[in-house]
Amino acid sequence: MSGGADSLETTRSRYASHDLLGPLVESYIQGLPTALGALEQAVRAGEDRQILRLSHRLSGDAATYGFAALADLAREVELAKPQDRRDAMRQLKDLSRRICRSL
Amino acid sequence: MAGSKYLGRILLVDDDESITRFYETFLTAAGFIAHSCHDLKTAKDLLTQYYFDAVLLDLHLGDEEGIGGLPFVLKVTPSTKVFILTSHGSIEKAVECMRRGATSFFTKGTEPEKILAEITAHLKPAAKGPLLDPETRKTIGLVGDSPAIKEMLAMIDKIRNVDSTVLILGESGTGKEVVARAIHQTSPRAAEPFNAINCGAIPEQLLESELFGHKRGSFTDAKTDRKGIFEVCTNGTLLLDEIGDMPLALQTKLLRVLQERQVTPIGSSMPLTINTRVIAATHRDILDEAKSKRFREDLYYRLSVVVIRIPPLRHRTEDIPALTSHFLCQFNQRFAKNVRPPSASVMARMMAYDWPGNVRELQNALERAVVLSSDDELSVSDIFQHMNLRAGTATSDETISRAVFAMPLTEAKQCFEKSYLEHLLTISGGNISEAARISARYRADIYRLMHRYGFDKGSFR
Repeated sequence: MSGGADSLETTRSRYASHDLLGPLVESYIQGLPTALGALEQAVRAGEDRQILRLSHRLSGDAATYGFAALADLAREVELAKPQDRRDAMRQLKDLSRRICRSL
Repeated sequence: MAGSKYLGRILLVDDDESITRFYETFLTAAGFIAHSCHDLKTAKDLLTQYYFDAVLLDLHLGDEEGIGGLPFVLKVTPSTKVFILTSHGSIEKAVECMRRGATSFFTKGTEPEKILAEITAHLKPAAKGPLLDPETRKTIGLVGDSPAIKEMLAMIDKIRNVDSTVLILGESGTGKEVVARAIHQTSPRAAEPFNAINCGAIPEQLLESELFGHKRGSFTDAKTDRKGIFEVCTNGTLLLDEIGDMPLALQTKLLRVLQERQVTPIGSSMPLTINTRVIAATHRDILDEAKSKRFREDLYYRLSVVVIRIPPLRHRTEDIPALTSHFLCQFNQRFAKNVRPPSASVMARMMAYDWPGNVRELQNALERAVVLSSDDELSVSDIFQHMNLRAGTATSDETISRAVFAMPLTEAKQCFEKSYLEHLLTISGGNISEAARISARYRADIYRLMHRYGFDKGSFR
């Protein structure tokens, strides 16, 4: 039960039920695969500058839209050493998928 | 949250559109008029067009540093509260921003309710009596004890319980907005919003919509109903800055609003009753403009129920030491310096100078001098560096400077203005934003002057 609650907490924005912000959160989730795709491409190509820019933005967006866990994972990608990036990216993608599925 | 009380005008600056959309939605519903932009250049343009009560500024604006916009905001609208938006990794920088004059900072992920509460807490006017005590005067930048300033303060005091329209006249850089704010703060409306709009810097169609509001569908870009500044500022005070530059067609509409105390949003047939105190300001000789039919005479008489003339700085040179001390204190704090007050000989030189750009020129000169000072001393060359730059450009400038003393004043002023503009465009390479920044004027002002003197920016590139 608690595992389910944790999972719900990490995949659901705290603003999901907010009258005004709820629709914006939905629209944010819809745009998530595109943002992730661009970051993943940059990680694959090893474009450091682009990785920093995109992961920093993703982290800020996720935090703003109420996805604290997603923001933390994006920050891990931002701070990861080049050899650890793919692993951090995998975790980020996994959570992002679960968020999109919960929509 | 429709019908929320008006809380003020806020500018959201973040290169990420999804962030500005989030806060714009929330803060608009809470009662703010929110403007969003994604780079510093647009932010600076907006800051010269509108008075903002608050700015929410992201530290990372793509390739730009948000912190770079802080000095501009603090210089152009010192009473605007700047809140920094930052990610967890940049808290040190955010703290640095506060040292430089930002009010507070938020990390991304802070609940919008908390952000709203903190911003509104900082915007609440201090509970003070109607009279301007020395500390309040200092805070709003009304510094000086010369007879001219005392006379002006006495006038502000005299009208504190009168709700009349006020017309503030003064050369550029004398501090017309500061005086308007002082009038508001001493009036019974002090707890209500103060708002300002620059009538010379906003295109006519947009200005009408900003002033009176519009209904959805009334013109191409009117996607939603929008309240005008008269309506959101009802019970408060509205400064119509550079009223002398307002298009004639709008002057007619404004006159009707002032007479009937009603506004009709564009696309609506339902007038709304408003209770907004209007203060107008201009650097122009407005009576002369009225005589030349560029300004409606009836509007002039309607606006000039009470007229306050702000003396140019050269007519109150005894205030220069107090102003210098006030600005030095500000800049030392902002730039983490400890520059000492000028020596008696430097001060004598400062008091002998005419300061054609008035308090704003003094402020800019001191800011530059504090930044340039390497030994915590203020030197004449640092303070008058802008004059040195000018003198170094062309001998024709020096000829002009001697010849102007033989001219009638109006002609001499125009001669200086033209020469100044030419120099400005030369050093900025025809870059209008840069020219506006250096001269601490609006971009619209630069364009207007270029038009007046027949300058083409391309010829300076």
